[in-house]
Amino acid sequence: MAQSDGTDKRQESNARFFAPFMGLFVLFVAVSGGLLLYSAWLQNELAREQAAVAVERELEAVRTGLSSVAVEYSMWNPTGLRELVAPEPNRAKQRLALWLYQKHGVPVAFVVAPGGRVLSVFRAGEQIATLGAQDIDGGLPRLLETVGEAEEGVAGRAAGLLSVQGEVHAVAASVLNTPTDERTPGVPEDPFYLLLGLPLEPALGDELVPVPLLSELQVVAADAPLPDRVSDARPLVAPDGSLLGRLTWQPARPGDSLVLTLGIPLVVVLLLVGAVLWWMARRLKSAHAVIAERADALAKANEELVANAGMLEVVFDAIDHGVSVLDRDLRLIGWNDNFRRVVGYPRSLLHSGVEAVELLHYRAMRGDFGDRDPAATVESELKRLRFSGSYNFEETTADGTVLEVRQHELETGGVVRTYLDITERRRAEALLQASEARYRAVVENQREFIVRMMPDRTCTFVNEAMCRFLQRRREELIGQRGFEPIAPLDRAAVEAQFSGITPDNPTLTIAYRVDKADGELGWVEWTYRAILDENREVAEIQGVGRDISELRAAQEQALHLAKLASLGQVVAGLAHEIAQPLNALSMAAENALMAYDTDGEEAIGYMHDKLETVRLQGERMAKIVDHLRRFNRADLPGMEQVELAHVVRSALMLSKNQIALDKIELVAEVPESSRRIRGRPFEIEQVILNFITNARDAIAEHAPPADPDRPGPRGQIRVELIDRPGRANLRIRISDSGGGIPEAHLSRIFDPFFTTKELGKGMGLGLSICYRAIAGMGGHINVWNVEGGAQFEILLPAAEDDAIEGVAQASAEGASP
Amino acid sequence: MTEVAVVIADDDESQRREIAEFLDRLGVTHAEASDGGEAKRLFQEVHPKIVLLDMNMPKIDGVEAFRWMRAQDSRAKIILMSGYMNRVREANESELGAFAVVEKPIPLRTLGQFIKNVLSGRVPA
Repeated sequence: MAQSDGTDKRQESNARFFAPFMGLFVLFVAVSGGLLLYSAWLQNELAREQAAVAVERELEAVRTGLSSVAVEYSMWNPTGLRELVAPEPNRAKQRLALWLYQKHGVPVAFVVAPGGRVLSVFRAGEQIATLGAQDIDGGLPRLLETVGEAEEGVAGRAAGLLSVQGEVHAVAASVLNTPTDERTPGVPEDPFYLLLGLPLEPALGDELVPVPLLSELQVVAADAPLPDRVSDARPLVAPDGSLLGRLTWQPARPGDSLVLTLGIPLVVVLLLVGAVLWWMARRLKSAHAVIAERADALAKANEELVANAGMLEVVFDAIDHGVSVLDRDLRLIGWNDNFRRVVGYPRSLLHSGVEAVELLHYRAMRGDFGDRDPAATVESELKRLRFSGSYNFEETTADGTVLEVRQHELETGGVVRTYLDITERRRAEALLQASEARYRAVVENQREFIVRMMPDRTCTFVNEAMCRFLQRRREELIGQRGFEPIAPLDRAAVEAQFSGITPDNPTLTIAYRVDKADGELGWVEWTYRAILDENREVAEIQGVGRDISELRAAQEQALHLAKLASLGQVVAGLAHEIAQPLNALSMAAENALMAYDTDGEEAIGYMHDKLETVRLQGERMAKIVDHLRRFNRADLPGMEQVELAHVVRSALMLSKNQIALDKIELVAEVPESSRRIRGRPFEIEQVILNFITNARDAIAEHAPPADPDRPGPRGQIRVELIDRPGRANLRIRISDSGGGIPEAHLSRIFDPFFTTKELGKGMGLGLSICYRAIAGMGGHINVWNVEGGAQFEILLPAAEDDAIEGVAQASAEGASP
Repeated sequence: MTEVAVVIADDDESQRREIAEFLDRLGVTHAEASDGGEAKRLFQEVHPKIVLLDMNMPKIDGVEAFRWMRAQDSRAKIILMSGYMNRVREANESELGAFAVVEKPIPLRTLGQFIKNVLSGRVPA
């Protein structure tokens, strides 16, 4: 609907638009056409008048001509006249007829006797038969009467129109002056007349028609209708007033040919003018459309401009930058509040149209441009403002504010400058640079190793210390996958540990051996940390490590000592274990001896039984001794798959007697069998023993000494093995009633050489060594306080089910060569 | 209830059995206990003339059972047995005051002579 409305409106506007042009064209056509027609009409009228006048004049001329001929003949010799009036034809008559016709071209002549009787009739120079007076219509008597009257002072002549035999003739009559001797002088006799006639139509036609004044000259009868195409008529009146007929003619129409000759060019001109007008109108129209369109666009643009200007104003005031706009004459024409604030102008200085010189002068006087001469400074700053193009620079004001200035040249010739206070940024950058330099020094000079690598362990950074330690150049390491020459012994375990770094478990502390370039083995302890990207994926791994080769050596020494100490305890336990079968064996032997003493040979069966007992007890002892031997060789590197329940039970076996001696209850909740783990069983045993020993020490310290009046154990140590199918880890929990570990110590308890014990007392395995041992088997140790004491939890991953037997056997063989 | 002359308290079953067999040979009635608690119960129930008490037993050990028995009957004849003689002697001399202490492995014939003497009243309580 809206569209059709628009179309209608456009059409309407088109009509309105073209109407003046149409009007102009019509007016032009009307005026030029009117003028043409008017002039044609005028010409026609003029020609008509001229034709009428010419007709009259010619009539007059004919009459005059005839009259003069008649007069001339009247002076004819009197003898000739006498003959003329004779009734018979004679030579005079002959001569007259020829003279009239041949000399003067008068075809018709009558000799009229007095009384109106026609005596002779001449036609074309010949006398013809007598013609009756009745052949001459209307007015001959009246004409003859007028001959007698004086006309213009000359008597005896008359002219007029007569119809001769139905044809209108111009006639002239003159008196024939015959000799008067036969008559009475003084008494006028009726005279004879000579009547000359000229057929009017040919006479006039001969004179008038050849000139292009008129055409179709015709005499029509009085009662005949006028011919169609005749436009003018003149009545032909006889002397007696009767109407003889009408002379009709068609006057020349020069106007018509004017219309034709001028009309065609005029039409052409009009068409041209019309075309030009049309073209102009079209041009104007399209121009008008373009203008209208532009006006529309302009209006829209203006609207947008107003909106933009509003928005710009808001933005202008809201942005952090100070903004100033200078026109081409470097007068301030726009600025925002931040401009005043950032640059620090007084409010009174800023008004529209203020010259940049003034602003610069203010700043120069304030000391913004240093100590130079203010006038020179202003001059150079002005030069900078006039510099075309866009560029940035920094300024420092008198109070130390650093401004980042961006200058942008406007197309209109002005300049926009933005000012941003970057004091803080510069200060921070300076600080950052200083700290970066410091950081670099720290990174480069410290003894800690720093490594950054991709998740696939491609090295992206190593510091100097690491390079020194590995005795390799940095270029050899950067960009390398598996750049660290991990000792083959540890490689598999390290790989496994590395694959355990996940976004949920981003840190890894691990120690392993690396092959140094000089062939030595070095120990490194690393703390790796995964750096996560925004998608919580591991983007990078950073590691801080240190050379623990010496520490490791010391620890190994300490471990050795600790092992000796724990061996002491184990030996004590073992002594008890061995003493039991030894005692039984000894008594069995004595029983056998006594039986022989009393019963002699009859006691042989009993003695056999006793000897069997001796053998069994001996085997029991051998097992214990074997265990002791293997325990002592627990530092063998081989990992084997063992059932964890066996390991826990043998640890308990070694410790239970010692614990019982200290009046501490040892509660074991160990299932008959469990899943296997992959590890070093004697190391696990040592760790368990260590925790049990620590628990015993804690109870001994915590509980009051044994009191005979207070029966029952002093404390309890509880050892559990938890093996839940489906869980990845098996757990050994060792809890005591020793009062627990101070919270402050809980986090440091696995640190190397951390101890709360007095020096020289309780040479148990350090907890850090325990931790390392379990971590080396892929396990983990937790510690926390439970009610009344501490609980240690050893987590060991269950071994995969496949190839258990083979591995276990191989390891067992390798362990005891 | 049959009279029981000797109660053997030892947690090691094979040793206990050797002593029992030996006492059978001597013709001495006896009962066996595998820990201190059992020994205390038997002591109360059967009133043995002699108790052979291993010092080192789980739950309630020999020393504690000894103190308890002494508290019940100051004249109870209790023979302490242990592999750790130094410790037992020290303890006995300072506070325990046992009837006798025997070092493991027990010399059975000496012990048998001693028990016979006690039972026949030749050894003063």
